[in-house]
Amino acid sequence: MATKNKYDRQLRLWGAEGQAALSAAHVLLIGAGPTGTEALKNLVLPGVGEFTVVDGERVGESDVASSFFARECDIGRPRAVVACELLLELNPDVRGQSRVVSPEELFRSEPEYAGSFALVIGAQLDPLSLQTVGEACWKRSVPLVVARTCGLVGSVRLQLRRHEVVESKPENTTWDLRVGDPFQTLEELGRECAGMWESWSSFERGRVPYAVILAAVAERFRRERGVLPETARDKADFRHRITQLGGDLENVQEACENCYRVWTSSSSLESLEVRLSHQDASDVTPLVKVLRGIAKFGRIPIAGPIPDMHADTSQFVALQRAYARAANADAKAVRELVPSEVPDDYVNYVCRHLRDVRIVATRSLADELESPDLEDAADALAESDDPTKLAQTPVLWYVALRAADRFLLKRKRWPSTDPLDVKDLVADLQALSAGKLPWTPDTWDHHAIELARFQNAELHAVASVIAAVAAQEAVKLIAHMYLPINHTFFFNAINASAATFEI
Amino acid sequence: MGDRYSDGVSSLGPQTMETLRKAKILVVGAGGIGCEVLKNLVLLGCERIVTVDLDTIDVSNLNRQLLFRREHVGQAKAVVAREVVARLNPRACVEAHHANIKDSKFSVSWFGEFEVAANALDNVDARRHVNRMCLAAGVPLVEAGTTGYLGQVFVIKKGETACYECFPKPSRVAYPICTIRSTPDKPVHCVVWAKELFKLMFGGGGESMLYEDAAVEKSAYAGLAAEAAATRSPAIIARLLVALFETDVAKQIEAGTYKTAKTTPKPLVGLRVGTPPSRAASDWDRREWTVEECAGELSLSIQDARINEFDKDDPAAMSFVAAAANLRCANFGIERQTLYAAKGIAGNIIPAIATTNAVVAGLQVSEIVKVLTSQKPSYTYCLRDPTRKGYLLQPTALDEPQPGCYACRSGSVTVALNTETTKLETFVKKFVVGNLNFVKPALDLGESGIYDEEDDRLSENLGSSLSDLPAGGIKDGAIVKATDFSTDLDLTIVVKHLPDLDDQQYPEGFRILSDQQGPSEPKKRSLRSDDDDDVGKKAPEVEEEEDDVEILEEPPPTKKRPKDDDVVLLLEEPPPTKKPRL
Repeated sequence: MATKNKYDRQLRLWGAEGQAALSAAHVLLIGAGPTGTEALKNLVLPGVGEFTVVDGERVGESDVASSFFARECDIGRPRAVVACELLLELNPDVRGQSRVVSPEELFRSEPEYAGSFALVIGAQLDPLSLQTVGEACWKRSVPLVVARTCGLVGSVRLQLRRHEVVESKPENTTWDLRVGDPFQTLEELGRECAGMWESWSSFERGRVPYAVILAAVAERFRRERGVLPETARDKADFRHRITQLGGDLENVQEACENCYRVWTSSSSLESLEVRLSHQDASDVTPLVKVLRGIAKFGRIPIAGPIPDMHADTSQFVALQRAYARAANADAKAVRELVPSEVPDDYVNYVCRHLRDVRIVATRSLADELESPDLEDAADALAESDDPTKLAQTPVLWYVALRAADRFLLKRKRWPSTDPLDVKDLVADLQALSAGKLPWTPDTWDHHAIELARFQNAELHAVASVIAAVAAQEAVKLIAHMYLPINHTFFFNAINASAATFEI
Repeated sequence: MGDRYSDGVSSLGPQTMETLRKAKILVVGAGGIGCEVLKNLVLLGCERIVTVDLDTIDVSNLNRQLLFRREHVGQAKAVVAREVVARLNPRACVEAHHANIKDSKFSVSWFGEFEVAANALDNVDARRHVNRMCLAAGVPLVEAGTTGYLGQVFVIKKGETACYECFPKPSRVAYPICTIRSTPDKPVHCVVWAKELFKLMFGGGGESMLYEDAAVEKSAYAGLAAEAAATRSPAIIARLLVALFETDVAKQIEAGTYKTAKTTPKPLVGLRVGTPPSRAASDWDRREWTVEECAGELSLSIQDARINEFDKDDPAAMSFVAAAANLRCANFGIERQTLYAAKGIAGNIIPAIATTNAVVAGLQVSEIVKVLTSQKPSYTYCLRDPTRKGYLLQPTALDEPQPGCYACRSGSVTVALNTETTKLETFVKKFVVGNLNFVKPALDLGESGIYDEEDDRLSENLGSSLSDLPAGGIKDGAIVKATDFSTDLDLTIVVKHLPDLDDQQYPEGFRILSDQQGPSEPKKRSLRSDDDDDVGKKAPEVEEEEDDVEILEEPPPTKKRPKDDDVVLLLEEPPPTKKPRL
């Protein structure tokens, strides 16, 4: 029997909230070639709300050869119109329109244009258009995803002036147990446990959830020493105290495994300093308002959920409820400190995920062009001493592609395999990389010749990988879930490797 | 070649483009990954493509399978996919089969016509089958799979790289009956219990884990369950709910079931059958129902349920399971699940998105190009978060065939003979014993034994010609499993029917076509101890759900992330005259 909901499979990744954000988003695609249309396809299928395609060119033979969204019969028609028509066929829930105009011209005459979109994708833009689009998006704080395919290599670059992620969904959940800094009920449970332990039978001891045991031992440790364990010796001592309680009990073993939570479960706002520093941001978003409320509140509100523990069911359920009650109380108190225009649900949402809140900013494209920082990328080159492996490192191709772009800017054409062009390109590559990379090839000839051969072509199989990554990042940005890459993803199809780096 | 291929020619070189155009490529599966692979191949310039898919198009495919539209729902995936991609390149010849790849018409010789095959499948069973067929036919296979944001692509080349079956698959967790019946401590245990209860009531109770022989043991609810299923009377159902969630639990406590257990359940005393949650509310399936609502929902779904196997997409069946599981959660103090979450658990739904499929399909095509141009293939992981060194797509070296692998390591041999005139006795004595050096051979055809030196009952087969043997006979394309008990060697024999074998040249009556594993020196299977580190490391994942299978403990485990040190950049720097390739 068929599922009614065609989005069922993706909802299981990004949830109803992510889907709602996606279907409310209006996305701008600039550049309707193979890379751009494939990227937009990956947003139309899962149900983006609306899109606009901007492109000034007409469908040519190479589009038909390498794009799914341009047919033989479309040759000569505007690429934007054709792409829009064919993309809309994919999903009747999505609205879309096109504008037949070169991006350069559009952004010159309407500098505010980017401001009305949730996100802009710039695909296969020439270096000049990219600068214009990049500046326009930066100025209006619109997230920009730049996708580019060149023969057997390609890249995705994000430009984010300030991007908020509430649910970064780290791979490992960090539970907020507060065992070293207990709230009232937990403190009471711990005290009761400490008081009764000696008189309990082994069976009764085995029923106590480990969080309570940890709270009890931490409380005693602090009373004796004035502080929680800090040094390795303290920590070993603490662990020893736990083991003493009965190493054969499963809950005690669990407590021992989770000892570290005692010294990492602080409620102090300092541990969130980086995130909270954004409370002074000029752009006062709802998230900033909640963060300011939390700063006034004075400590991290309790998240609520707790992991499964070996324990008597009723004790565990009671503990679960205690955490949930404490979390509600904290969220309520924060609520009072946040302006009323921020909805209750959102305040709760932020309180619950506060540990996963991230605020991300990348360098601007203009900055990167002005003063490329190859330090991060250099790390990848320091890892091997095999020159044949090193030559394929994505960052070298990044540098090579940059040189080819400079050639294009200067000469208004892509370099050819003509020895003179190659010589020029190699010279520029040496200038770009000299002293900035820990390793460079003896000769850049190989990279230069290959790039000349690629002719900046959008090979479909490569474009489709680049487009998929670009769309994936777009979904993350639109949904404000998961951490976006920072800031460049580079794919080398010669050996199917891809790396991310900050330049 | 006209303009159409000019980009490909400039980036890949004319020889590679020519190879791609001429290669005959098999794409098994035209679903999430298959759609992308087909599109990529046609747009790359491949002109001879065959696709096979058993499925028809479902609404839930539309979020990622770009070749399909709403109006295609219900039509054959392979056929629609062919129609759409063939239009992309008038020179491309795309052949579609709406069929099961396990069908006998797709014989080893049929597989043998391809230069390379790509798996874009959604289940382990078909993957194993294609793996074996490709091994038998000597066709390189590019395998791929995704789960949510994760994916992987790798290449199987007989004798060179590990095959699909070299590493054991993560086995499906079968829960101990006592956990399900008496001591659940996770939501999934309650969901399994609820599915078993459904089976007991509506799916021919005998197979249910909860079924018990009335003569031996009597639960508080067995009789009422049958009666409720038969009468659908609300009054009986109300009594059943009390029996299930109060009386039976109390009875088990009394019987001392929980004396030594950490958790003692709580009978739901005075359970009220409330109003079922309103389906009109938008959060109907996303909200945790109260205990009273669960009771109401369960009562309603018992009245509505069809006699059938459990199907997560049957609303009454799914409501039944969600409501019953939640009431049991309430008994055992386990966190209740929304219907939506319960459905994910019960239906074993694996998330799938367009983007991961597109990445994996792109990589798969890269590997196809490498295979066709004799470059060293790799095993590439597609990760959700970058590694420490910033890798998101991580190529690693392919594993070697595992010594213990019965599918690939024991090798296979193809023999041509006249199946109509050759007697089994000749086949065994001259070929299996005489040529392959088997000492104590046993032969199986499919599931049936046809010869075993130690089994006298089978000796009567010796006089029959191969094609007249039981189990369909050994005919053209048949795969015979040969086992040598004395050397513990397994071997696959592919038989080709050759009516006019030159008996001057081949006086023994058969001709060996391939003999790559050197079976003339039978080797003992080595024990796995040397390779234990790798076991289970690279089990490919499934792309889509498989209904009605034993429930997984959790979604297929994410693979051990490859260590950064595993990064191997495989392409040697090409000599200046040679082009790098995809």
